[in-house]
Amino acid sequence: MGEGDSGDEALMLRYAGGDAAAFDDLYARHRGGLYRYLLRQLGNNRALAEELFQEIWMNLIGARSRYRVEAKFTTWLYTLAHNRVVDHYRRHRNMTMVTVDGEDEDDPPELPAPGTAQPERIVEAREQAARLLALIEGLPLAQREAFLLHEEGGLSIDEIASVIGVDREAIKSRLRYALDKLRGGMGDAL
Amino acid sequence: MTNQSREDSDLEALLARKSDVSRAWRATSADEPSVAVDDAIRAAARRAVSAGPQASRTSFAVRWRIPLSIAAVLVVSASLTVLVSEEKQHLPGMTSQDLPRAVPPQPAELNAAPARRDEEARQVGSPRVLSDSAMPSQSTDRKAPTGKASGAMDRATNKATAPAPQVTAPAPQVTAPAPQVTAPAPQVTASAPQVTAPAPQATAVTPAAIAPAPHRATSAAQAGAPARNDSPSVDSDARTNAELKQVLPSSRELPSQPAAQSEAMSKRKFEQEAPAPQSPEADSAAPRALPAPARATANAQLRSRVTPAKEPAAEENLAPAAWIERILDLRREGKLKEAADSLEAFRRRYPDYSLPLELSTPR
Repeated sequence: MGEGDSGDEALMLRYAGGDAAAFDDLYARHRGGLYRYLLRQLGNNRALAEELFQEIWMNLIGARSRYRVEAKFTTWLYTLAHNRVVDHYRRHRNMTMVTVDGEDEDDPPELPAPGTAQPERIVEAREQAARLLALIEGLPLAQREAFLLHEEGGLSIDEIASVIGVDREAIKSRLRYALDKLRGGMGDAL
Repeated sequence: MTNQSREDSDLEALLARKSDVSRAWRATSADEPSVAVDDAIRAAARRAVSAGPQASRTSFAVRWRIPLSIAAVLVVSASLTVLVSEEKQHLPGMTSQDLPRAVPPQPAELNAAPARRDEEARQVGSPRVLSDSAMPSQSTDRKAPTGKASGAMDRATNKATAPAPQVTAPAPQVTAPAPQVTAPAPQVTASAPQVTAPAPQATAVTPAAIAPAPHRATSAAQAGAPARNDSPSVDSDARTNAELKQVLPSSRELPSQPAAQSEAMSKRKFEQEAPAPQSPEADSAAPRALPAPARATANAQLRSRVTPAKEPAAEENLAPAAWIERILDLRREGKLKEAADSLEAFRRRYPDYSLPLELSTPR
């Protein structure tokens, strides 16, 4: 995700100037990461993820004339996505977006059974992927978001802090907790 | 390695994308949006770009709406201002400031034909005053559009004589000596009761007083409104002449502006005294107006100021009615020859004038 970032802003400016091809390039660069970010943040709900995904890109298209190069394009794009996810969770109060770091430290997500019982390698790889996805889904939302913004968006700690609106130490803490849980959940599968 | 240092190194590896968790995540997560969503978003992006110029045109109209409105208002205002100024140029006699500027050419015109001008003034001025004083409400009509001089003059006359309270207020001061003179002409007030206030003043003006047209023009110019009564159109002359015959059967002239100033007062006194040898009425009034030396001095001053270089014959300068009155006086005095000569001269001068019955039959 990281390569070509220096050109994201230029592509967006070209698109704002009327170059539709620039948008195609920009969209091709960030469509997968943004979609997966939404998908994981929304509990692997594909329909909901695609709905929000489309809304975010439409907002970006509508706001193209107001775009100014004040930060990285990815920071702006994932800020739009974060705000949209927050709005979604505000409308559906049954889910809590922000949790205090470490408050559910003692309540680790339920993990699938260890893959030691899987006889074949392919099956083991699939089970490993499913387990990792289950571990990600079991992370607290704040930790999961920090992890996804880093892995899918390619954002640095400072950029994640800017998108979420917290200080960088909180982001580092969330990433540490997330990494520790994932590593612990995967065991010797990693 | 402590737990803290191990967590820091794991975090650094994660941030450097060298963590085993990162590798496992990249190998696991390969989900992508559907092709339909991709097509919809790309199509929306292209539509937005192609619709960009339309949005730009709309925003152009919105941006220029207020400036264009202001410009339109300014253009309309400027056009109206130019039109109004052009209208004012076509109506030079409308404003009170323009009135004194319009008067000066008249004395020169009057000097060219003093007797004729005096006749016109007599015929037009008095009835006009009568009509104006009878209809003061017309004086406020300043908006009647006309480009003709006569119309402008009518309005100017109305304007000058309109404020009846202002005009009639100084009347007692001016007419104070007049009742002694007005006795011979009671029919003026009888036939025109609305003008009884100016009538005493008017009766002080003897037939001879009407003669010096330059003097009248000067006093009219100084008094304002009467001067404008001296230059009506020919049509209005004929009309007002008929009115005059009905309203003023005698030869007394009514000045249109009873509110005369001090100089106008002195001129009227001079007019009272000037024909003293010919007019019994004026003769009876003159000694009471001023002592003889003072009267002579005033006469000299006023004559030097208003009398033309070559004074025409006294009878020639008289108004027709005054002239006829003089002829009758001559007859009463037994000067039949002089009366006949004067009547002959009158007929030559005014061949169309209808003589009174006592003069129409030869004696």
